[in-house]
Amino acid sequence: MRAFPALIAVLAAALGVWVLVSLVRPPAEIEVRGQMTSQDCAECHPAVFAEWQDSHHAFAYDNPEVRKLSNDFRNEECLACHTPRPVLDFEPGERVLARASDRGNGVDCLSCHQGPNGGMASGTLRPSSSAPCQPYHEARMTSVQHCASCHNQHKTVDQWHAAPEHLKGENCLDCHMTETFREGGRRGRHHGFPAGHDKDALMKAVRVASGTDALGPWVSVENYGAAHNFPTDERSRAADVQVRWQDSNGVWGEWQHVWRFRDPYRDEVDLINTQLPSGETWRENLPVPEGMQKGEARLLYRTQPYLPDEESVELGRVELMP
Amino acid sequence: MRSRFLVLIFCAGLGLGCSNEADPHAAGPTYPAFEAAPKLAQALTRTAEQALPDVDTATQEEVAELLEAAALGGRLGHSATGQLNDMDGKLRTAALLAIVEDLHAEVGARRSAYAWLRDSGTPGLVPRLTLRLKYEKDLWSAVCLGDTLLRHGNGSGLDAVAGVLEREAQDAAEESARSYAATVIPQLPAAEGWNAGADFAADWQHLSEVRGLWARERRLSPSEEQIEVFHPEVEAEILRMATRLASQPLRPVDDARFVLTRQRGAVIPLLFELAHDEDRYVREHALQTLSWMGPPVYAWCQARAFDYLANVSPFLGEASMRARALEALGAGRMAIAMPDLIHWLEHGRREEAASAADALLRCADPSILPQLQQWLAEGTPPGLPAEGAFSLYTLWFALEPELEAEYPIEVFEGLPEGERKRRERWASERLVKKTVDSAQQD
Repeated sequence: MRAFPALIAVLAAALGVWVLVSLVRPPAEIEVRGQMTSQDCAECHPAVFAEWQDSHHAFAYDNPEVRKLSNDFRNEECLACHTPRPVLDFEPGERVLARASDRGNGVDCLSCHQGPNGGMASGTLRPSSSAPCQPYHEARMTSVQHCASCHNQHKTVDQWHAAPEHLKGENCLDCHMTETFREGGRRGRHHGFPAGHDKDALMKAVRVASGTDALGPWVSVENYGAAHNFPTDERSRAADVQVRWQDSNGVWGEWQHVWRFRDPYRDEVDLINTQLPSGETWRENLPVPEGMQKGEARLLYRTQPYLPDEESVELGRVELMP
Repeated sequence: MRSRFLVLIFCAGLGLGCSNEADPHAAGPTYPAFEAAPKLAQALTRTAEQALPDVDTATQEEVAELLEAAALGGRLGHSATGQLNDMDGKLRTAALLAIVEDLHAEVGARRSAYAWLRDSGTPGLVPRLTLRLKYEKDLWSAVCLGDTLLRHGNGSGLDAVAGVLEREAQDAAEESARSYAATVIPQLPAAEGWNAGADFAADWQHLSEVRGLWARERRLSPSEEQIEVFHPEVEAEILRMATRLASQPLRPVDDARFVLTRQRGAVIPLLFELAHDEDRYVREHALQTLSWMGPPVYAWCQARAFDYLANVSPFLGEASMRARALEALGAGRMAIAMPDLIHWLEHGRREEAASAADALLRCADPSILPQLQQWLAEGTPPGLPAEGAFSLYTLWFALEPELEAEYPIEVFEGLPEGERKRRERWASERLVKKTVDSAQQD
């Protein structure tokens, strides 16, 4: 009779063990992926993978411009963010370390999604529990801290923190991973990460305007859409305001430099940081050369300061009336 | 009693439940436990009194003014020179370093400061002056850097000296730098049959030999003993430089690596000490620095009978450090490490397998050939990344140079060119190791 409660207790304990083991282990019929690579992700997420393949994240290691600026990665410091180990292996916002394998993949799926225990982190609240990559919800995936590990090396996330509230949105995803609907009506975030290499994204950040006041014609550039400086990130990025004038015979003169927006390299000690902070406007009156009947101003964006005009991206052009 | 019984059953159940998730590494080698501690902080405290003092802006400006006055000559110059000479040596050294590091300092001011450092600097200048090699663009100053470091037993600046000599002077300033560079050569350690200054071709030959020896072994003469410890001032400044390894911005980290890899082999035990630090960035970068040092690691360990493998072992047992430890084993280039590397190549995670294959490329001896050929015949171990596959083929070609074989196209094209070059360099360094071995046998 006294053995009965003990038996019940043993059975209860065994049941508890079974429940616990079931919770911590995936169902037996699911094949759990061991050593995944980003290429494995394409099997179930071909559309997302294709978006990433077209992105500058995928191009981060092979990009010839980066290779040139990093002295072909002999500046080892650049490797950490151009071929990072999973960001989730590090404390939120802390910098990443470079990986030794699959460097050609640049910033790949695993860089952002692989969790410390092998599962794949997702911003989705209830990711599929039956997927072989063992997805799980990770709140950090949608936080600015997740991007900060690399993108604050050049203070872009600090700039975001200082931006006006109405421009900040919730996080980096608002502008750089916009909502998209894929085949079959599946909703998700676009993995193309449009930014400084995407004209549309640049056009959403700044606008050029012109007018005339008592001092004559003026041109302005307003950072109305980026929740960080314009341009931002690498110091090589620059944006130039140029002007040209048309004489009374209708002949246009050469483009002339007016202003450059850029954070100079540390040894360019005679230059100051002229990046345009979020929400701010730069404006300048332009003296009209004698005999000119009208003018034009344009804004050119360059991924490196010595890029020729013809290889730069024009973000806006306005007319100037004397 | 009963509750204890139930807890036992519960724990046993948990154990059974997890037993199917057996650790794939369980049957592998065992390693001493890894323990982290505030190693860097302790070392900084230990060496604080030996370090160069911090210099405030007022002192830096005062020394800059004295330098300017000293250059004028005459009574004023004589007085300024006297004041500079009367300063505490370490304080003067620190102030002069602050001037050459100041981005706003004019070339003339930097040149004066470099010259004073050369003539009167204390040994603690070596680490920070080594870093100037990365940033100094003025040719005369670069030669002065090489000269000064050489006087303190560091050959890292000899490449700058050679670079200036190789260059065709475009103007008077470059000609002056070139003339200065020529005067550095006679200061090189003597060698049998070399008569300094007698013949430029012989001078150049000797400079090249000394540069090669420094690159391979971090010493300046074959008769020079490998030092076991640094001058206390140098050690203190190396440790201060190492604090940059913990930096969140990456440039200071790269600066520290630049300096640490260019010091004599006595930096190796310091790096192992730092690899036990409580800060993960200090730990990882300390081990990585060993990998980047390359050939000198082997030369120093051989000369000092330093048990490199035993020092790396604790990190092989720690999953978060293992890939870096495997890379460090490669840098040690001791064939004795092969069993560990083979184990992690076959049983490690992707990153570890790649690091193990890379390390084998750097250290494996011909006894690996049967295993290597079996791997390659079977299409390389499963899950081995492109980097690892390329390393294994490169190793095969290095071990059998007469072999007429090529990389499979998917292996060759699966890797970016920069990564291929890195591995080809490691293969070429295998020949350097042979040179070190034969020199030591002689």
